[in-house]
Amino acid sequence: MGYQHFLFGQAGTLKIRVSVQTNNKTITQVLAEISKNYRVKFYNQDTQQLNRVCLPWTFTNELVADVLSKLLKESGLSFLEYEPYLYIISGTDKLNTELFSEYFKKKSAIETNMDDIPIVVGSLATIQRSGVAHITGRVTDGVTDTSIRGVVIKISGVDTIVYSDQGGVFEIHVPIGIHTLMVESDLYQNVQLPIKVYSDGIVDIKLFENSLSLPELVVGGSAQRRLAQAQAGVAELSIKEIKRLPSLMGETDVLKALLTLPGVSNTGEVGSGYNVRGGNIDQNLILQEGAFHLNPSHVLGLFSAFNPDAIKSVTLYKGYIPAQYGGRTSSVLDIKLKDPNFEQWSVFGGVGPISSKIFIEGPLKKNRTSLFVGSRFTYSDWVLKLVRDPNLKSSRAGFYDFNFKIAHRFNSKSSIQFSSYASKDDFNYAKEFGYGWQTQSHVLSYTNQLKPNLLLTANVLYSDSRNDFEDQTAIVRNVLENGLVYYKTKWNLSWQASEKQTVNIGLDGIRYLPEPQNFRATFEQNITEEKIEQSRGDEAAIYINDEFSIGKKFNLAIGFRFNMYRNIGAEQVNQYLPGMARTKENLIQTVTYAKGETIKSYQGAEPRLSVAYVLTSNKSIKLAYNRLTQFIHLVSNTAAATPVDLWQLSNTHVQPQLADNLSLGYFNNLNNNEWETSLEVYFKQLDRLLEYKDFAKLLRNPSIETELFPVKGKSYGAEFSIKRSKNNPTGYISYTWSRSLRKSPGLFPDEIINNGNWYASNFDKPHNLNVVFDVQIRKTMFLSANFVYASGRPQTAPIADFYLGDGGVFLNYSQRNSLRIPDYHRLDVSFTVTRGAIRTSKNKGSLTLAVYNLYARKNAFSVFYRRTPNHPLVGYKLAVLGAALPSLTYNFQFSRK
Amino acid sequence: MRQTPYLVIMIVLLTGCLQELPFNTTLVEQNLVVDALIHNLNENLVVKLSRTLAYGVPPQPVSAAKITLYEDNVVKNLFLETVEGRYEIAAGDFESKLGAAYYLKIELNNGGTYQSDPEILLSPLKADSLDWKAGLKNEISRDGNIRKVIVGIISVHTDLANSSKDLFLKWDWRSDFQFTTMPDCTPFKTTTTCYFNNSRISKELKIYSNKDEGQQRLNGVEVGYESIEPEYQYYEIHYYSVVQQRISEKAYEYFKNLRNVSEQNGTIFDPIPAYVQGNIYNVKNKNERVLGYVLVAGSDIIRKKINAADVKAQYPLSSTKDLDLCGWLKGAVGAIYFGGCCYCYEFDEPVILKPDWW
Repeated sequence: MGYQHFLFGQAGTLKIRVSVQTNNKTITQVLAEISKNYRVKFYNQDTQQLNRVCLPWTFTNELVADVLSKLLKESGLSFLEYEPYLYIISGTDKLNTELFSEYFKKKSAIETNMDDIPIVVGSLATIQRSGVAHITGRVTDGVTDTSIRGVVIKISGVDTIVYSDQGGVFEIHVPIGIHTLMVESDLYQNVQLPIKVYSDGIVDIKLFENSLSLPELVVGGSAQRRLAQAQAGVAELSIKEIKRLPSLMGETDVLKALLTLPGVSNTGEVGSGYNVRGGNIDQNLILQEGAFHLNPSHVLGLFSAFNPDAIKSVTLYKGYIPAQYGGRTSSVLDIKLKDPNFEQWSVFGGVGPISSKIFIEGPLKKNRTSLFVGSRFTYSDWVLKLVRDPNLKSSRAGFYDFNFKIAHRFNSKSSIQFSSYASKDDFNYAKEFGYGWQTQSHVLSYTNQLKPNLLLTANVLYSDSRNDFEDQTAIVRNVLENGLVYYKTKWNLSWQASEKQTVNIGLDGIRYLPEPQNFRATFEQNITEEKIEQSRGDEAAIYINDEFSIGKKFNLAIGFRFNMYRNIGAEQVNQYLPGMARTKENLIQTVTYAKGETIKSYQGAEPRLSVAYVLTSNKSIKLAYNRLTQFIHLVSNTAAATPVDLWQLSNTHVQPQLADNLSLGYFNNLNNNEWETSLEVYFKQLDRLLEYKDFAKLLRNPSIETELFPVKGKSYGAEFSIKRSKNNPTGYISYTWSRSLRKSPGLFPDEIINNGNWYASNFDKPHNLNVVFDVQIRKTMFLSANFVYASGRPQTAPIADFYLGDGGVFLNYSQRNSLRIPDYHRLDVSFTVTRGAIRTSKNKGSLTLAVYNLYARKNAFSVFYRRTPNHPLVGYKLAVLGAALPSLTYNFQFSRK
Repeated sequence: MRQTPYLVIMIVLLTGCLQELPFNTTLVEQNLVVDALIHNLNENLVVKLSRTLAYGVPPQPVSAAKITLYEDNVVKNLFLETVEGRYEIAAGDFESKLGAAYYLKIELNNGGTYQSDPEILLSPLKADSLDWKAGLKNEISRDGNIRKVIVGIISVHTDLANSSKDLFLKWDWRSDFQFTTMPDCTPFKTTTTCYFNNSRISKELKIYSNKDEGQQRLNGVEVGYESIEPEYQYYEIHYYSVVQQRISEKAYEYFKNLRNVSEQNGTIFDPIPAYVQGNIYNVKNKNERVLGYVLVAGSDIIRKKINAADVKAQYPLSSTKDLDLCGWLKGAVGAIYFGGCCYCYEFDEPVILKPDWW
């Protein structure tokens, strides 16, 4: 075997020329002579071979490399230059196996222009003798300096692929030598750069938006990563992609984008909240910076409460829910706000037909402290003024929301952030009634990289949500107010045990302090104010979540969460005759508990598991199981939430909800990850769901437990998805077949629904189809379309009419949810033209023309029945969005260093 | 939940439209309907029995039933069937007793036996006065449009100061007017005065509870309205009679729930409707759905007389008497009636004898 040269250094270092004679000298002696005369040093690992006597050569002003080549010929040794004047001489095999990668051995590496290697990790003085270096780093947005999650980092010739975590941090083990570093992200320009690795070190990577790349839609992240990751049923939404979806009135809507995902649906055209895999709307944990939202919508669900300009990432967990999350039994929607821009000041904005928005961010101290402020606000009153109806002219409607965040970096390892969110909705109709609701939440977060592989995150937060309903036409004009205040803290340690294992361990606690329901006269002072106290509670949990790989085939996520909950005073608790229905007649006494006194406690363990088995490089199957518990319940006997709905904490009479979720999926990527296909089936078993007696009085009821009883639930379905995320055009089709059922065997007559048989839940819509299509016509022109089809929601409808008294006509209804309203379908399109959409531009702008409900389908929002004189009973369907709704929106961005 | 406003909001904010929806349910239940009122007025007691057939089909009267009235668990009277499905006890044959408990036992000829829960006949609460005024109301036309119609609104004033807090009221009302035939229609140029009960009005159910509000007085509580058009009904004398019924809490809850499910808008913000259980049940099968209620109500009547001048003070009545009244009374809806003269005897259904109180 001939000797090989492994060049490793800057150009010109091999141009040192020496003169030496080798007659009767050993190689060691020749090298010593060169070292003495030319200050060149040699490090050798094989003394025996170097004691060989050299052939009689005379070198005159020859390159050191040439001299070494001849000296080591037929010795079985090779050499390399680590830096000028320093050479390593060792056996060729040893160099191959211990010190250098396969890539480095290629001849082409010798010819690399070494001046062009931009990244050098470590130095020769700290060279890793093991031959493998440990590299950590952080991936950030090159413009905003915000961390980027989910970026793929690969080293050429190395099997390992790693991903940046929530903080943009990654770590990888790399053989020392010259490699190609490959960084891939859907939303940013991919990077391939040579990297020279001597030893352990830090590599920070800045990426720039891929604004000229072809558009990709909705579900972000790497196709390959999604295929192999242990967690099943996770969908990531990038805000940039959400903005591409056609929107109502030009308002980018996070929640409506969620509805395009398989397994996610809602009850109707509008309506707050959404349903995931057959779960109630209150079973979705909706987090923004750790604070959960009780009402995620404005104007009864027409618009999302989240400002898209402030959002960094949106992740929906509907299959495996990591143990870091708890308290809801269906899904987790984790919305992360972006970090303020540490590099430059920017102003974003948008002007639409009914609302506008403004967003400002920038550094107070460059790379140290920065903030953002954003707000959206409506001016829809002008629309009402155009209406002829005097009632509408005198009505008003509006909302605003406000986001603020300030971040400070103490150093490269620790930082602190404070964020605030506030929103307010207000509606008043013709001085007849009015309602309002408002939310504010404040979060203080601290992160500290305790060790290179150990990250501490801690936060404390305060949230306050309130709503009111004013009846201005009642005999005594009155208002009903209620609200919920809670405090929360969460501590999490993230330990990167190895490249293939991440462990999260932590605890969190919440104190719920609902405001009393307050009913009072608006003006008259002689009417006694009525206050009804609500149950209070403490919720705490400890958890551990371990994600790791076994070999190259198995990726696992195992979680365990232990919940503790107690219902606390002050409260008056009704006690009823044992074994009897909770009615006024069976009330035996009322017990008073002091403030802070424990009234009732619950605890339980939640095991969680998700296994991904990688069949081939483009196929995998995943199995997931969750046990979940919920201590807070939305008390609402309507299909969708309303602003005056109550949140009821578990107490003596209301037990925590339980859910067991099981899912199985098959994933197959085709044509080099250009196409992603998946088929997932799931089964969910629910227990202790709250159901309501017919005609329950849920508001202003101090004995609300008399109106509630527990039922069982089950849901099952199959979700199919095919997505094209590369090349042009892109898009996806998702289809879900599912059922969501409830059963109330009931101990007492008024707790039996539909004779104790399974019946459809209010949101049981067996067929759901979504088609999303996006094409880039030119570099700055995009056309998007979105088609939706869904089965009509269940309805309890009249089956006969009858007469009572003189002229009264009344309806007799079918069994619960035994009929359906007509099916729903809709097509939306949008066309966007951008200006200055290259990353070097300081100013950008885009104009979007969107048409919602293009073919003006009159989808039924409601179905109801009326009888008019001399006419039989007639059914009507009301379509609230029964026309094509065009909108023109202008968005802009100005940036200054 | 307070659901109705949300529908209004949707209509206000968005481009809404209404369409008639074909109803094609195959679900059919034939339920017994009991409509009964036990009162203290000097009027006949009436029980109406029928059975639902299907959606949009009028219920079928139930004949040949034996209906017994019990007072404090003692048989008081038997009802006699006067018209198919209508059973009565003449006013002179029954003397009510305030504070007594009344219930009905109904035996059908198919063997079914039904019984109502006993309810106390409470002391009536007298209304102080009755008002009439012109106003506007929304109406859904057959083509699905919502339009404003001019109506006459009737309202009552009642002092509650001496009432207990658990006071529950229900109002029923009727509209009667007189019409004088044209003299040219008889050879002797004579005229005849007819009296009509405007029974074709579809009424809203009006009830009230003092349980929550604890008020001292009801001022101008709207108990009903009817369209002013056709105007003929106001050319002569028009009477409004309001029966203020004091009912039990159970009856109040029944009618409140019945009203809610019958008037709701079917939106996602509406409570799920359901069958409303009244106070009557099948003795042998309590799971059988029985519709209706045996209402026991301490009742008081108050009347208001309206003439053309009263109406003209608020609404511009046409200056001439229109013969189309005949067509309207004969059921010609929205069309001109060319029948010429009309006589009281032609109008079987709405014509009544001149009431004693006229």
